[in-house]
Amino acid sequence: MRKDAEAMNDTRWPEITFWRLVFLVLAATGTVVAILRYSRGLGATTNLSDQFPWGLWIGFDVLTGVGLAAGGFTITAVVHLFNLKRFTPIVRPTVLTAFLGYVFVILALLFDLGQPHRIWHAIVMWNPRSVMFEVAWCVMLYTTVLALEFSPIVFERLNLERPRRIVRAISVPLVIVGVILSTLHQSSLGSLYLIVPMKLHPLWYSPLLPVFFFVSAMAAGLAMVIVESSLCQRAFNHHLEMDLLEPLGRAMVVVLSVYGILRVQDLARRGALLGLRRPGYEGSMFLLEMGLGVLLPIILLAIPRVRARQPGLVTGAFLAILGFVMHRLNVSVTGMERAAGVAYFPSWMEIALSLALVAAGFAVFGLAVRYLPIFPEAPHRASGVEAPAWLLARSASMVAGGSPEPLSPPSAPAGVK
Amino acid sequence: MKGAILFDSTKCIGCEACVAACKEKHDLPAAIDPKLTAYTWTVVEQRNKAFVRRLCMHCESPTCVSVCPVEAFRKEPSGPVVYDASRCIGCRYCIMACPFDVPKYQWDRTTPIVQKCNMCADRIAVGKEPACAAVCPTGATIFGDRDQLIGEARVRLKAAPTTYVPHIYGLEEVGGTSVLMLSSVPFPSLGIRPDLPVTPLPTLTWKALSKVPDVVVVGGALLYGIWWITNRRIRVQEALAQEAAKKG
Amino acid sequence: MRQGWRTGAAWLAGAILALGGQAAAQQLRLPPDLAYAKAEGSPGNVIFSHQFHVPVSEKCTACHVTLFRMLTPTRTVTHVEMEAGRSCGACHNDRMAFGPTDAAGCGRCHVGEGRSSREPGTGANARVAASHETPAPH
Repeated sequence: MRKDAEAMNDTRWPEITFWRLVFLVLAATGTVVAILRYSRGLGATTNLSDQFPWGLWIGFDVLTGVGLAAGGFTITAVVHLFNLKRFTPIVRPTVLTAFLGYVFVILALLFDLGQPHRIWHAIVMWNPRSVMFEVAWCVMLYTTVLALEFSPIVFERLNLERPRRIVRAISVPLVIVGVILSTLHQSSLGSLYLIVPMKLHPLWYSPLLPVFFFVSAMAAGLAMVIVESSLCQRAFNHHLEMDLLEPLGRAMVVVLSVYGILRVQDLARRGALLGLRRPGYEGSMFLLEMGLGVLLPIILLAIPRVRARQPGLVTGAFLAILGFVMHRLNVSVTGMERAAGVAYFPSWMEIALSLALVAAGFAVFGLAVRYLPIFPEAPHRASGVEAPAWLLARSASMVAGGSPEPLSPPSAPAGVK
Repeated sequence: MKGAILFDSTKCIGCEACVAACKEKHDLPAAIDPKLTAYTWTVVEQRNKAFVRRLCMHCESPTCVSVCPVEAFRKEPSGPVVYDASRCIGCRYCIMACPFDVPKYQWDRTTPIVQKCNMCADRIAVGKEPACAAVCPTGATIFGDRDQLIGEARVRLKAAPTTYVPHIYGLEEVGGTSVLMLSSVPFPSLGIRPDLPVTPLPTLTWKALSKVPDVVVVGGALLYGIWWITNRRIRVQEALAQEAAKKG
Repeated sequence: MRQGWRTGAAWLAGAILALGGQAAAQQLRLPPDLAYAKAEGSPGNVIFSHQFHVPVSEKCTACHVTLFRMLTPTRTVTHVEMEAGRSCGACHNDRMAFGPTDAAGCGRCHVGEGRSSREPGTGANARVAASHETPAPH
């Protein structure tokens, strides 16, 4: 009885922990920036200009966000098409990550577009010769596919047997469509830059940009699964399936090697490697990207002893993600600066909004894990009556991994199952 | 007739009549920005003792037309590349992609649109020449049929080979433009890009985009095939296991 | 302020080299002299000459398009406007150039035909469009 009362108190006034505070600060700043962005325009809130029309919100929120969500199509393909059913336990969190990733990419776009209320124009006003048009359609369709792939989890929670069976019946075609759509738009994000051969630095411009974007997204998607599982382990005391993640690490070695070899070979063929003998600004960024984000993770993950243990595996995966983020930012920012004639560094508001979106992604993930059967083997505990603010702060802290206390759900009030 | 503008830098005295006329024609704020902006669609720059105009080049195969996801840009048969603000979603791909850095954004507004020279398409439609060409007191900017202007440019180059650098800028750059330029100093020294390919830039993205149907069809068949094989293998194994169980 | 000084200096130079300046301006394709519409009681049409005024500034933007439009016919100009520093009064203000109350009299500007504005039709006929527009070549 006294415990119940304590829990109720806890519901009203959650304990302020470090990560909850971080989340609340990020969410509050993000909200302020969002208001400023819509009331005063892009010029007042961003460091974008006619010389530099695409900045952090495209380079990070969109290009990186979509890429990091690539785990969704690789893992579903592995499980449902290649029938490697032992990976089934990681399908749900991966699909959830992917779905949230795409939803937040679309949200970010709503901040970046100058006319966000016209985002639907791409549905009715077609220009099939535009890469952007293709990306728009693929993202739209693939987000729908991900929503459908995720829906059985919701139906399961709500005990809706019929819709669940319907979605299950079309699951294989859904996965096939998802893989195709992903292949198309992951590569097309690279194709966006094919049109600027004289603006993008030769270290990054290549006719193979779409291939690079696709292959690097596959590696990043796998790396995300590993890092995310590790975060979940810390936040939810969810046990780490090393027997599943270790093979992903091995797959990453293959994919990253293919990617690295393609990149270097392409640079050599175009004679762009010569510029690295005395690396300037771009050269240093390139070496950092390839050394820290491609070569080092390959080496780490290729060593069985390192790969088999959690710290090594997670470090390798984390470095690969870092390299991936650097590649996208190098393409969209570093490589474009020289031609633009101006240096671009995002404004604090651009950074704050991006961080807020990431934080919101973590928070929603945490909420979903708490209330939906994301990790099916561990029975979820749910009660639907907590105050929303508590939920947000709580789940954010959980996902961010800073919550020291083990997951102990507040006991459900009488009458609620 | 395919309308075009011929700008002869050797005749330009930098009087900016074209700038003023453009401002009047398009009801733009009178203040003249030193570079192209959403509110100044053409400028006259002085470089190396020569004057050069900046304006939309009105490409024959325009990059902006190809990159815009909602087809806000259109190449008119009469020459101009025009922009329909009511379609624009504000993705700014046109600004990022234009090889001449022409489209500009209204950064000071909350719901900005892209702005650029439209070669006074409405004037051309009623048989007038663009405002800049109409007011140019020296004939540095003239308007006419593209083929005829190319002929005129060739005549000028031939008549005064020592005056001009032997190049008609815009004849072939990115597949040709509807603004042609002549100069007495090398074009790079006028701040004009010398490194543009002869092939239109949209062919670069089209190479990738045209593979979309292949990816869909081949990819779909391949993935279905993989599923079919792996799934069947599992079914067969299951059936064998069942049979073995029955017998056993 | 800086602009005003520059324009003033340019005008001085222009005035001294008026003849030479006019010779240079003659090579330019300028609109013909234009007669402003004559208001009631006006001593005569004001005739504006680009030939004379172009040497004042290297830039057409000294007057266009802030003071005068180029493509659409210019309207009438009133002394009220001039005294407010607009239109011709932006320069013809007794400081940069002689002003509306110049000692040399109204005739410095009002040089046009039909000094009597009572003559029927004159006012309307004098409304010559002052436009840079030239007929399109095609």
